[in-house]
Amino acid sequence: MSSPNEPRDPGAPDEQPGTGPGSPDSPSQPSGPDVPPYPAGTGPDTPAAPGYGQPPAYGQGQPPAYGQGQPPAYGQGQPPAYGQGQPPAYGQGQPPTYGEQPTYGQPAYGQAPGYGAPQSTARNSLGVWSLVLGILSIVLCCLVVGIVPGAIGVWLGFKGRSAAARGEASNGGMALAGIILGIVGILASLYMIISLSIGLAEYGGLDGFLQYVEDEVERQQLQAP
Amino acid sequence: MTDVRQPAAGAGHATASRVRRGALPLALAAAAAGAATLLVVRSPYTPLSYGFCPSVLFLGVSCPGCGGLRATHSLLTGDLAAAWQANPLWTVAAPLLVVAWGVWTVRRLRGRPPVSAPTWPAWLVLVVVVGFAVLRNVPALVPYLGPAPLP
Repeated sequence: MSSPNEPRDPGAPDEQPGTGPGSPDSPSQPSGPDVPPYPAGTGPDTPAAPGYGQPPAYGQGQPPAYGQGQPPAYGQGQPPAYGQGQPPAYGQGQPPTYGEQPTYGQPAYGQAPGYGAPQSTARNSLGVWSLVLGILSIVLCCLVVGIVPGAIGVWLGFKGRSAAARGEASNGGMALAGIILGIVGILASLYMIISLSIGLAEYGGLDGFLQYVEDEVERQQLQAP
Repeated sequence: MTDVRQPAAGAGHATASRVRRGALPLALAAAAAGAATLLVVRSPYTPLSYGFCPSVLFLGVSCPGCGGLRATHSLLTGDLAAAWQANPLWTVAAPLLVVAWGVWTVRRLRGRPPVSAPTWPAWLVLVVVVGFAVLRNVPALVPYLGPAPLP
């Protein structure tokens, strides 16, 4: 690590695109959304490091990491850090970049447009589905039917909550509402089952209730004019 | 169970995690198969074979699920017309649910990352089901959308 070279090398990335034979554009365009968030040293761009690494300070593997994480935030922070040559500013920006890498292990997330935003809407469908299934579990609360959408809604609601906690969804409240409504729907379905069972037991089971209904129908038909 | 994005470390580990990921879809399929078997053996067309719909008994309205057992029985026995007369919404939705289960299971077994699906299908389902619940209780539409009376 020849860190003293870093501040003295501010012009190198800007001159490099014209002369570099390898992949010269990746370090100098931090705003490219297509740059996959490989951890430095493990991505497929690593073999190209000797290619554009004529300056020793440049080939340390930091420029690839520099081009990935949070393009808008880095693009704003870059000019003072580079122009003034302040190593603390450069060193402060990088640990969050590395620290966030493990949580975004899938390239699909790194390429999401809302990667640098605090809350993405990529997985908002979890919360919406949870809310919809929670409502439907109450609508369908007759007998066993409401338990199925209620259970799925609660499950998706918890997934939506965790997705919102990871910043992949912005509707954590909707997911919570889905969880609550799903639990209400499950309880309503269970109440229907239990109350019907108790009610049937008073008539001596299903056959007894059927007999009661038939007798009642006959009695009303006899009373009819 | 909540984290389906398991990186495939090795062959044995990948197989073990694949078995673990496939447990939930297989459990759901087993439960559905058991319910389907019960519905085929014990016909819901027999009066009060599975009780009665409390929304009809207490509220006098048909809920969106009314006729669902009969529709499932008719679908499983190949009588599409009877299934449509019992519950047209469930006749359409049940095959879609089977397809959705298949897609979900395959993606889960392969360890694909979760999709960022749009939100409009969920709202569409809510509107369709609630609209179906309202329309099938309109007296003029009962012969078309309501559960057919027991033979």
